[in-house]
Amino acid sequence: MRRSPTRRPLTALAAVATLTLLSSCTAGGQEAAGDTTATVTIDAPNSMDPRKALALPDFQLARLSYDTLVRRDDGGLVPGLADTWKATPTRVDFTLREGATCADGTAITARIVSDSINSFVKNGEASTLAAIFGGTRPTATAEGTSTVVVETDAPWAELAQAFSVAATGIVCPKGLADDKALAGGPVDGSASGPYTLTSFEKGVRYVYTLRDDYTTWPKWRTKLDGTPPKTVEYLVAPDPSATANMVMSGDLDLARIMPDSRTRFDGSPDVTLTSYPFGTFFLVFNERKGSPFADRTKRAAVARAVDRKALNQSALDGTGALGVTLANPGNTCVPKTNDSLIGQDPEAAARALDGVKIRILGAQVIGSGGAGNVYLQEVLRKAGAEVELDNVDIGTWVSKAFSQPNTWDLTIFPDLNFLGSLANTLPLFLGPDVLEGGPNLGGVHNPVTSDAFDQARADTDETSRCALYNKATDALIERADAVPLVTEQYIYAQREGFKVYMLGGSLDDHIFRITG
Amino acid sequence: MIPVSIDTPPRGRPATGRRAFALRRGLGFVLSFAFLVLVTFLIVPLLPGDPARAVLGTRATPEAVAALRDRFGLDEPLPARLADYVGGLFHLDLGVSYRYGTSVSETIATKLPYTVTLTALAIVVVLMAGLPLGMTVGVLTRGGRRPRLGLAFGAIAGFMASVPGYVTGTLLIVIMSIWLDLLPPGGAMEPSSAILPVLSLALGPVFAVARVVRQETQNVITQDFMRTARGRRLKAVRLYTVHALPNLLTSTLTLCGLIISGMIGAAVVIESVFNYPGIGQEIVQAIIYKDYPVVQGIVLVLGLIAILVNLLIDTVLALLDPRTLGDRHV
Repeated sequence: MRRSPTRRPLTALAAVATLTLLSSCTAGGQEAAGDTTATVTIDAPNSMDPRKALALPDFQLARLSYDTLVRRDDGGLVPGLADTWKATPTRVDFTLREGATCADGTAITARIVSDSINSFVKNGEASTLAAIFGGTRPTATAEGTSTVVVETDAPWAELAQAFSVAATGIVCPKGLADDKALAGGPVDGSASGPYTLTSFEKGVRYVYTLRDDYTTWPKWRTKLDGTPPKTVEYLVAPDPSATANMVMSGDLDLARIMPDSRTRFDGSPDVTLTSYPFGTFFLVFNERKGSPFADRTKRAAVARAVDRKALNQSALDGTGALGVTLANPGNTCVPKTNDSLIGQDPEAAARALDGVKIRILGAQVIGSGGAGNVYLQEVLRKAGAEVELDNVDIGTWVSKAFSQPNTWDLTIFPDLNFLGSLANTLPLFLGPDVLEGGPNLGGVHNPVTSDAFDQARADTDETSRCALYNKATDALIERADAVPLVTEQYIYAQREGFKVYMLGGSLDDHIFRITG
Repeated sequence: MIPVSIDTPPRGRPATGRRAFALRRGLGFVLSFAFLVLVTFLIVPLLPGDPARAVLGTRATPEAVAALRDRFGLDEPLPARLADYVGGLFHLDLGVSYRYGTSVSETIATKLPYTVTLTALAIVVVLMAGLPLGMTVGVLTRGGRRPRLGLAFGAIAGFMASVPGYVTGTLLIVIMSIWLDLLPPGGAMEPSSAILPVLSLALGPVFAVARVVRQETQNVITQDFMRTARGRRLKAVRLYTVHALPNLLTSTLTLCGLIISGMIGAAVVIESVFNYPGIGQEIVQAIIYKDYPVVQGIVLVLGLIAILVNLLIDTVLALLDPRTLGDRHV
């Protein structure tokens, strides 16, 4: 519940006295929220059309209004709009839930679902499509009123899991009929999910209201406390320190905070913290000719120099989970331990790295202000290397890393794995070089990884598929093509009476509950 | 030909002076704006990195990158892009955001009112507090009276004027929001959310203005016309508001013009401190994601506001003091 302005008498008085005239210039004028409203922070979204979702805030908004066929939970997929499903690497048959309706009351049929999926494949964000469908091109067909068949042109064993990603949310016919409006705001009747967007101010706030007629909640295995909020108010708040202030003062109910803000809530009776696995950090090397890391010995030396615990402490205030592979601990097929990891050995590292010139490209999202990159620079300097750090904002990092791969030798890759599978990460080390238009960022050539991944894509058995993914990943780790570091946590501050869940390692499925 | 002394006031009717003033200022405005357009266009290509990659992220396919570059003409030569940019301005079209795919004008129209609200209210606070404070101290310490007050004011005002707004803002949040729970620490959920950001923006300038006003007050009240006014036994309020104040405004308004321009820049930082959804917050995001059209549009609009504010202040000064109509003062 966001506090009412009247809870601060001076506030009301001062506001009336000083701002009445000019407040009309801004949005202002929100009603005081009741105990059925959850006020939550979000970064600025790019689009409100789920098919165009590209970044986390886009996925978060899509999640409220557009239901996906399946959802992720601890232990695997659970029913969403689909009650049951039968999956092979080239085909999934989804049987729809009974009673699901669009916001205008239209029953959600197989035809509506298949049209939405085909529209996403045709008009969706290419980067998202490539990531979740593994480069394949799915086609959806309605069989009767309740069965949807999705087939791909090549094997992709993660096909069913792809339909847990918010971008695959089902858009009802009224939304599909008005593409432009869908991207810019609410379209009456377009929602298949529990909430409809009832008001918004672009880049400022987005208010979603629970549908009265919505009954088809996902069938979670995990027991969730409380009840869904009647209203979810997303406030765009990109500054995490300011966000923490707003939680402390009661102006926000649920908010992402940074690790170094945790101590501010120590002993607070009103706020509890909860955290879920989020971005995964691992080292990627430029293995092209001319880079010192074309030599496996030097890559392994970097792995030996890095103390993951120290990195976790310096970048994430010790909140991260030490990485054993290239995905977060909540993802499928992720092992608890890994014998393939190259152990720490500073002396051996110093012998191999003494005098080596290394250019690190760092994104400032690796800890506050890129603290993790600074740690990496210092630890390699200590090993005797001459290290140059280019610590830049995330936009510059992406463009430099992929467009100018020969301007750096080493980078900490901050991976957001929306698919929730190792299959989502491995292509970064496979196929054609980025210089040739492929996905292979470091110019890696690892035949074991390549073969294991190709086999895994077509493997129908989950156990053997996981074994193949791990074989592919371990081959990268052993050859020091990649070095797992840490998984950062998405830390939520929760005011008393509010809870948030992110189940099954999902990054985009933030489930809000009111418990008070 | 009669040589004109530099000290000779310009001859001619006031109307002619006003016309010349308007012409000079109009021409200056056009040149400033043209320069601003050119600079805003040219600074953006200097930003490092590929905007298509920055917007599309780590999973971008080459096809998606190529499509975005093609859609926004990123591969066109710079002169062609400049021509498109300037051509668009003639239709009040600031282009389309790479990131949102919507018009830049729409983005600015959403966020600008927040920033304008902050800066406008801050200027009101600066004038309403800085002027009386400076005048009061100036009058109380005139002719060397109350040296301790003068010293204390000088020290406090000097200190306060030099404290950056983000420091003031942080302290205000700690005291007013977290300790005393009197005002919201951020966001824009209620009108009162603007109070702390406004105070953060205004507090330093209040003391900067007060210092100048105090000095000017001490100069003005020693003038002959003020002695004459005092000799007529005028009440203090009338003496200082009717006779002294108008003579203080020239320097005060000139300073305010500079302060307003500075405040627009300061608002960028203050908006971050308070999670206030203004244009400053938007430009930071736009720079990160290489959203060139948004960066260009915001810089252009803010620059235009600064030019207009200076033009407005010049005009007000000319109305208050016709001697400033010409280039040479009597």
